[in-house]
Amino acid sequence: MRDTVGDAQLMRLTAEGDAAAFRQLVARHLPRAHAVAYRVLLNREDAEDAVQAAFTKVWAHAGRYEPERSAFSTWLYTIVTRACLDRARRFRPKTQSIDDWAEALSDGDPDAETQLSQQQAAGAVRAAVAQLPLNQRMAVALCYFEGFSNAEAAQSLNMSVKAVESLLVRARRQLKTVLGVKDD
Amino acid sequence: MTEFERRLQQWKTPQPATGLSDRIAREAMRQPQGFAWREVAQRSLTEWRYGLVYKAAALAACVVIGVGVSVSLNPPAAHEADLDELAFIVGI
Repeated sequence: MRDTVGDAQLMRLTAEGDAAAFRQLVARHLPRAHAVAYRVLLNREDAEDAVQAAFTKVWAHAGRYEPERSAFSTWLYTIVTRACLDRARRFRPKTQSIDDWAEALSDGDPDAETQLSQQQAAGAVRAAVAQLPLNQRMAVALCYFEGFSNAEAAQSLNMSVKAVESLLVRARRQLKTVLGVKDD
Repeated sequence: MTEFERRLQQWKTPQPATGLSDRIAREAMRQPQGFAWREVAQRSLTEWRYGLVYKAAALAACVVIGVGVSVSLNPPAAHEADLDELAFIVGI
């Protein structure tokens, strides 16, 4: 996950109040940020609130971003993870709405039995992830689902790489047990 | 891909709602830039848990200062002097 010249330039413009630059930043990074928030908070409504809070901070604190200190994506996901943790601690987790399921499953396959099977499999994974403590769920969302390296996740979570690895080991062990996956 | 990774990938996330990007940007830009302290101040007033450690420390400091000021303004010896002065004024 490398910073691009585009992100640094857009942030410089955003810090100067450039609305178009900020909109471009949001459009570019929203899908992944939304996915991370969704994996942690487990429903669309909370995920949207978390990313809203995160990007509001990006706008408000744009002047504090220093490209020579970190990549924009690292800075962004530090804010996103904090927004997710904050949201999770302040509000009860909501159940997943039927719309979330419908969209997640929609891939053009008309076979009802296949859809049911997919829904059950997806539900099992979601339930397993939901059982994880919040910090493990965050590490899993970043590393196992969104492909962050351990170092990138450590920077975003403001912890050491060893701490992230420890979280992942414990999470992996629990997920494998709950999902009935044998050791590789 | 391992079996574990394959199982995890069965849980897909929905795409962000249509128009969410514009809505987020629009809502975010309603906030002023560069005034992070306002947000902190507002949260500390509306959420009792926010900054709880600092609030507890401030309260303890107020208690200590209050006790200290109270003791320094009302030392035991000064009380007698006040009574003597009062008696003189009254003419006893």
